[in-house]
Amino acid sequence: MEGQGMRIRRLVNEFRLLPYDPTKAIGFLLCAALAYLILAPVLALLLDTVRVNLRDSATIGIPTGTFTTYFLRRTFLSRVSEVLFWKPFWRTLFVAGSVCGIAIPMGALFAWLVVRTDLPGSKLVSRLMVVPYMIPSWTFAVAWISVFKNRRIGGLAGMLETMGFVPPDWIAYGALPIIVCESLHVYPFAFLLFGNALRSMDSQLEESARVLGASSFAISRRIVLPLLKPALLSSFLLTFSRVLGSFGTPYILGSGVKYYLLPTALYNSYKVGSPGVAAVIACVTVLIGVSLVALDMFFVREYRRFITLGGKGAMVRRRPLGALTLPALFLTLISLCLTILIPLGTLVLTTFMHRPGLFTVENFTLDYWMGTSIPAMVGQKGFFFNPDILRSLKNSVWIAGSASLLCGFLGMLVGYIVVRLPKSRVAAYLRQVSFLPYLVPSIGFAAASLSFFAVPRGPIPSLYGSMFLLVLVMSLKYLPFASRSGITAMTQMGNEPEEAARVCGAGWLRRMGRIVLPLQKHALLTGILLPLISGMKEQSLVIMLATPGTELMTTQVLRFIDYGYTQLSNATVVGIVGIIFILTLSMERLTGANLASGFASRG
Amino acid sequence: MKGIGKKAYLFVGALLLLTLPLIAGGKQEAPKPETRKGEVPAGAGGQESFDLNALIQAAQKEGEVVAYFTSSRIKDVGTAFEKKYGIKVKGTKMGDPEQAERVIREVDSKNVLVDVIGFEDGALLEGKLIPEGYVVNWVPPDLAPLLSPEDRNPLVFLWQPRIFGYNFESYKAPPIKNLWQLNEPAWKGKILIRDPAQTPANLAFFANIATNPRLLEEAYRSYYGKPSGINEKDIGWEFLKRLFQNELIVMRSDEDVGDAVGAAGQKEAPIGFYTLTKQRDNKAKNLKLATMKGMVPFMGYALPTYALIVKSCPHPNAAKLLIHYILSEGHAPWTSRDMGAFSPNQKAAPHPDNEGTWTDWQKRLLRIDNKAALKLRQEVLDLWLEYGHKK
Repeated sequence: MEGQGMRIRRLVNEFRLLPYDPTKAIGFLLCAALAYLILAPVLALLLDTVRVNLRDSATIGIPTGTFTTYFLRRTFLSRVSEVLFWKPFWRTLFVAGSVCGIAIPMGALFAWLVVRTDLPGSKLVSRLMVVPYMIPSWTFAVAWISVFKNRRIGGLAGMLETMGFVPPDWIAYGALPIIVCESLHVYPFAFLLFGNALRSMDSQLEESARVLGASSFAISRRIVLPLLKPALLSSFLLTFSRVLGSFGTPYILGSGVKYYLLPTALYNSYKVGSPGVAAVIACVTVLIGVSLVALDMFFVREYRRFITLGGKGAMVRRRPLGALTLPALFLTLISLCLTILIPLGTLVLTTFMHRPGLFTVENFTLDYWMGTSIPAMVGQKGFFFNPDILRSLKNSVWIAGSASLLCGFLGMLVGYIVVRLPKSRVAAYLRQVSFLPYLVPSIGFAAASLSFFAVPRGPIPSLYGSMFLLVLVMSLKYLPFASRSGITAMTQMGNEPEEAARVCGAGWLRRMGRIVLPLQKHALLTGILLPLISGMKEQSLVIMLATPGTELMTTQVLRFIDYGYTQLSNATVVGIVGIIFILTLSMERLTGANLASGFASRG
Repeated sequence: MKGIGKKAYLFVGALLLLTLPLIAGGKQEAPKPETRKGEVPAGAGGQESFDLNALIQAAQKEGEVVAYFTSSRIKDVGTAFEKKYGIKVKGTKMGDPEQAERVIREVDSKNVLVDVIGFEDGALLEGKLIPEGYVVNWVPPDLAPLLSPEDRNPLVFLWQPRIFGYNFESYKAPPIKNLWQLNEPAWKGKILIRDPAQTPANLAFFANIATNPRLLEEAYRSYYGKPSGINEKDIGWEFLKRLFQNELIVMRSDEDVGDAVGAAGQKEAPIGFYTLTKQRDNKAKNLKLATMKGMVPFMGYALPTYALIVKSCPHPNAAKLLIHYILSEGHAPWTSRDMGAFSPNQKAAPHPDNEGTWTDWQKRLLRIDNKAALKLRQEVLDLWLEYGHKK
């Protein structure tokens, strides 16, 4: 019979055991911390849609802090709601849908070519196909603008302009370039998803159908297509949500002609000083994003049975292409050129020219890389000497570096807790909450964090304008990756080493430091390096948080574009891409993992 | 995930409840900051005995000053200031909305990093920032007599005409003689301005048009030769509506407007609304910009840049010294090195290319009433969003 005394003794015992097994306590602390860092800002964002902010109170005359439906009405119902919200909303749906319509068939086609046919060089093609996804999405937009710009946006003339052709507005800006650039960036995603599905599809299924007399068409329709449904659905949902949260491309290609999508509409409202409306738009973005990813997760579970079908050593027979080999190769080469060579090549080329498009000897120069003064750009220097670029480089490395370290360790900790406390509410809660940032589109997450952490809360001072805010938000954004890999890694490590150490009297810290971490250094490295690479190319997340002095390379690119300093913006992009390539290659050497596919995996 | 069940939700709910005080607690806006205390006395040209040397010494002890300005020339001013007094200036170019955001956030969170702002959004200034004590207006007492009274509160350190201009290669004479001409179909899609949604001063200009019905009526009569037929209450708004419907093209900066309008080799260049300073690049960039001389009832408006000290800033004395310097001699990078801008200091000599002194220009420009601008700004913005975005 448990009396009060028993219970108290139990508690005291547990307390005394804390240094040896603080798992539960740490678990609770983590839960509280994540609730504060992730859930609270999102809740605060919701609050911001109905509470009057000081900037708004100046213009609308309602005192700060009052609850009101003003912002909701203004965003959805007022006579300016068309411009503020509805047009960007429908346009976003249109653009995202079109991108899916292009990227998914493209990805599926190449996946089929690489996995199911005898396309020569398929291994190399497979590696190269993923590259467009590794470089930042707006890289294509920057290249596009350098080539197709016209006088709608000021600054240096575009390549075609200099060569004598003035591109019409609908080619240079707006829906078409946005859709094209996003598709080129995002199709590797579909490529990988379909590739995985095709790889796990046993050819024997098709072969037995053929033996039974089914036509090719029937086989495709009754066997292959249904088995590809999960891949199709997943790539649709995830592509859609990626386009939804993408800021850079619509900013570069749409702002000049007032073609706004949800992320740029959000940004505009915020910059103009209407934080209430910005909060409403952010909430809509978050809601859509969350539903899309939640839908995907739901269907993945639904379709799990599809994958197990191929579980026992699937045989994938490769179809001979025969006469189609050359055209297929040609198509592949064109696609690789379009998605890698041409965009990157254009960027690199423009950085060596005074006036992009003028192919004369005098026009080529090293000024934009090495120059100490550039006549056309007052006060600016070449890439390697430019204080703005160098400072943004330092900031990027510093912020992404700290964030990735924080993230990696936090992810490992979450993994540890989740696996050591199986079936507990703490574990389930941690799993869910650490995954939440993945559901929230970057720009929405940034808006939420900005408004939440901009004021002092209890012991925590205001983080507005500080680097720490950037580090914090970035590490939270990539926590899903790190905690996933942490959980997976810890699952594969049994209890025994730790228990043995405990029996020998080692405290928790000792065990972590001498046993767990060394065994997990592979996973820890992945958990750190993957966010590092993502952080170096991150833009949507930081655009709302960066301020002069805390500019990162990715936001510095936008500043240069705003001023019309084409060569400097392009040089910075080349710098970012270069760094990413180096980091990726070194990481693959260090961990032996195929990073590229790691990027495009669902987590 | 299996095994979650009710208990988990209760648990999560309890945790959220725990975090509520943290959410709610921080949400209270900081209590109304006390206006003016201690070392930064505000004053619109008071007769206090002013000891410049003491100020210099106090400022030098502080060692540096942080400034956000709408103009990138603050860097040049800073270099000259450092040469004279040995105090480093950390100047950053920043737009109005961002400056306002930072100042408000920093003062509210009691973590002020900036000392001086060079700010153009007069409406927000007079409507919120000064009355609620976010910034303090300080006029150097020894220079106050050199400034006209309207320039002292809030303190203006720079006046720029923002005017309509044209390309003198395309047109031999100013093509626009009257404000109402801007609404005519001939100019549809051929007028460039800096995005009103991002430029509070432009919104203020439009708001002040709406509050000057008599000027508009006179202009109408002088151009069309007959009364407008629109009643006084609506004439301003009707003008704006027609203007916005005329497919104005927005650019990100006055510089972009100037470049697009002034580019050489155009047969029928558009006209633009930009700050006069953009014409200083006529030679360097081979632009063909000229002002719309003689336009009735005005060529544009007088754009003031205000200089204010942020409340509880880290270097108040250096801030005061910087303002003193800008008003007395430091305005050179804006006013004497290049054309297009004027110091309110009546002793300052204008640049020869300026087509007159500031007094001459004031006759050609509309002066902004900040209170009216603040009241009507939202309406103007909404009108712009509704009609100016019809594409």
